[in-house]
Amino acid sequence: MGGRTRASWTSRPLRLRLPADLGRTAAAIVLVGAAYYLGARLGLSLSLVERNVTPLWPPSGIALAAFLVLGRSMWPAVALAALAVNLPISAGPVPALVTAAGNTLAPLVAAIVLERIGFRRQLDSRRDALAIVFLGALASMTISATIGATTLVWSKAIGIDDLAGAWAVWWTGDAMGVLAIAPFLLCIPLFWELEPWPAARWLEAGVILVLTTVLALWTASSGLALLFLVLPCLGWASWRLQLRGAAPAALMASLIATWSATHELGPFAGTSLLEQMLTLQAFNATVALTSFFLAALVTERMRFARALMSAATDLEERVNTRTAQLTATNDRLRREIHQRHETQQQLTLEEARTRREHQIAETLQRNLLPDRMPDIPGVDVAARYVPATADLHVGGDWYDVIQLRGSLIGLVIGDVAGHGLQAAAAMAQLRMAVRAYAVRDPSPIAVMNGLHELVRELPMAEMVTLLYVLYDPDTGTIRFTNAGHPPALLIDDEHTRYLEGGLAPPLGVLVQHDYAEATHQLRPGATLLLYTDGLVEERTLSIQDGLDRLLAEASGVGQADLDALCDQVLSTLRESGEVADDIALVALRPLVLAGAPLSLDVPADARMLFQVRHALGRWLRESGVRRQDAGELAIACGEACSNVVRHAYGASPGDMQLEARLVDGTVELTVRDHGHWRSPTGRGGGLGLTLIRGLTDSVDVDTGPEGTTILMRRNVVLGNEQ
Amino acid sequence: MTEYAVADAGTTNGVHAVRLCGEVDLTNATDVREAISRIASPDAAVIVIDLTETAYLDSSGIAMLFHLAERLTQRRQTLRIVVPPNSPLRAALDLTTLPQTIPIQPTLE
Repeated sequence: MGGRTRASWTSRPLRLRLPADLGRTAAAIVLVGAAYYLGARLGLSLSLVERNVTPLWPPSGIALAAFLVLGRSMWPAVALAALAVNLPISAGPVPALVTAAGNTLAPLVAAIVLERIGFRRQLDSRRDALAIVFLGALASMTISATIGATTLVWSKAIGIDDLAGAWAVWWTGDAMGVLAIAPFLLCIPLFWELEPWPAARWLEAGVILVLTTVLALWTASSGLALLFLVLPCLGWASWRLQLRGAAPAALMASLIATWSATHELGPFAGTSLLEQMLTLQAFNATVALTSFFLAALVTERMRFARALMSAATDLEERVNTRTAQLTATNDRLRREIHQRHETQQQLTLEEARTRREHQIAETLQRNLLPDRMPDIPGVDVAARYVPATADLHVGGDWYDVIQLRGSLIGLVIGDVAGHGLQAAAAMAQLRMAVRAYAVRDPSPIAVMNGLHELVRELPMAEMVTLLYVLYDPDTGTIRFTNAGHPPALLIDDEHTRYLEGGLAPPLGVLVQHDYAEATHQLRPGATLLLYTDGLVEERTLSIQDGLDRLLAEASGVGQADLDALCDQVLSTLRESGEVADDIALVALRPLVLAGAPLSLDVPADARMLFQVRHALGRWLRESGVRRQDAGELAIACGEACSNVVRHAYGASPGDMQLEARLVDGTVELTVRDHGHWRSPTGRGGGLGLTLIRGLTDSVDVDTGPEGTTILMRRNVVLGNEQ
Repeated sequence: MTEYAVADAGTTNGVHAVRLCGEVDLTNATDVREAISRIASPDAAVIVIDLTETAYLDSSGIAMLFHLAERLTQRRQTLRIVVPPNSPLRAALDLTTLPQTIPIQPTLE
């Protein structure tokens, strides 16, 4: 029991810590009992009617305060003191005992109820003020009033008719006792429990108490009903000093008013008992409620203010902490950004270098590839080079068109594995090597053998694929050898197809290889298309699909002009717009000469003589002119062209134009220049004119300021001689 | 050798012949003449130029043959020419005075 009590004490930090020893407890009991008894004597002395009607019963307040502050173990003191008080004024020992029990029970119940609802005896919130007024005073004191009044009737001290009045007086007295006395007693421990008052506070409290006392005494003794004048003083006390200032002042005001009523002084003079009771109780209630509520409100407000300030301080601290953290994070971020910026700059430099290399490779490649197709009369040639859009992917693709001895044409398409400057440089070497070998011996096998040896002997790490085609315009024959390259595409009306055969591994792969060549006919009007793998290789397509697509696409555009054909093939096959790998392509098409006039416009250069007479030879052959006629016309034409080359322009460059028509079995050859005709001198020149006249049926020479035109006519025999 | 004419020499049945394949025009006539001079045997009394495989020969070529004949005459050698009857060169040669200077025969025999 004692342990539990101690435990309950420690769990309530504001409960007074009494020493556990019995001696101190006994002393407390004695003190409480004495206080109760003295309070009772004071109460009785304030009776409105001697020993009967007491408007203020201090013991109930003392008992409640004792239970709340010192603990409910003080009940024996209260019970004994109450019995001691009641014995002399009761009808006998039993009624006194019963009344004492009621007097003990009422504050005990009040204390229990208040503790249950978490009442705080500091009275520092509205809730506590409401609790002590309504539960501690008004409600609980019905117990003592009921028991006391009933005992009076039962002991025949009063008649049953007086029960209600006695009950009311008892109840108000007890309640007022609680309201006036308990807060005062409860505030006493606060003086050492809360922060101590400075001297100024003590002075202020003293001034308020004195002022209240003086005002109360004056108003309570004067005839004017000015009791309420003390209320501002109580307000002041509550506002400035809260419970510790208000409770003593309120107690003083209540005591003085009660004393005044007892002696029927001032406002209480000449009034009935009921009026006195009503006025006094109303005044006391007002005083109590005003002081405690106001004090509680102010305390509450101050606590809120302190909590707010503490929260603000806490918030400020947290803000400061967070700001410090953020600043640190910010610094770290700034350092990281700086580092990233530096890394980025390095990357940009790297990127610039890569891009520069890409540009060099591309420039190199573009400059190494033929910028202009050779002018080959009767043959169309077109080529395209599309560099990879991605950096570093400019590679070793190349194409070449080589005019070889006789009227032979070498077509080359090749691909050096790898990308960038190295591949472009290797490509450049190989391109010249192909030219060199082809000039020495244009046959595909000879060229391949030479290249194979070169790639084997030279430290050329990259793998090379190459397709070399030798075209003879006179016979319309193509001979080729394919070293690991995608096959050439023959675009022909009747059967567009890939040209198989002549296959060999990529250059330099095998130590020894016996190259073979394949032969095909290239019909006039048909197109031979050579390309690199970039055209048919796509990430989303297999090579076979790419080849099939190219075949289908090319079949549809076989009739197009050769440049248009190249563009068309490139645009439809590279729809994505992004070129993953380089694309090189070269296309060759012998023009269809038969059935239409032949028209050539070439530089007046001795090297063109061969081309011109071969183009004419093809035209005559394809037009069905007998070989004998064709051969003699070729000499006549050659003589006319030689004249232009030698005499028309002197040292300055110029053009010569040849037109050939077949009209009703007669070939009309026109050779035109825009220079100044000079009479041929010397044996050769004169011989030339002799040949022209002798090999044709008629010759017209028209010389003017615009140049010279020679028109030669010869009847020919038509028919297929094969 | 020249760009589109090739000459080679040989002796068949005791006849020393230089076979000229390809085409002769003003771009290579001089080269062809010098080539023939070089490979033609200086000891043979008769030099035969075989034009059977010659696809084209214009006035420059004919002039070249005149020059060649003159030079060989200085070396006391005789020049003869082989031109098949169906050759396109035949008509051209016949238009000149060449056949009167240099004997033309249809075959090497």
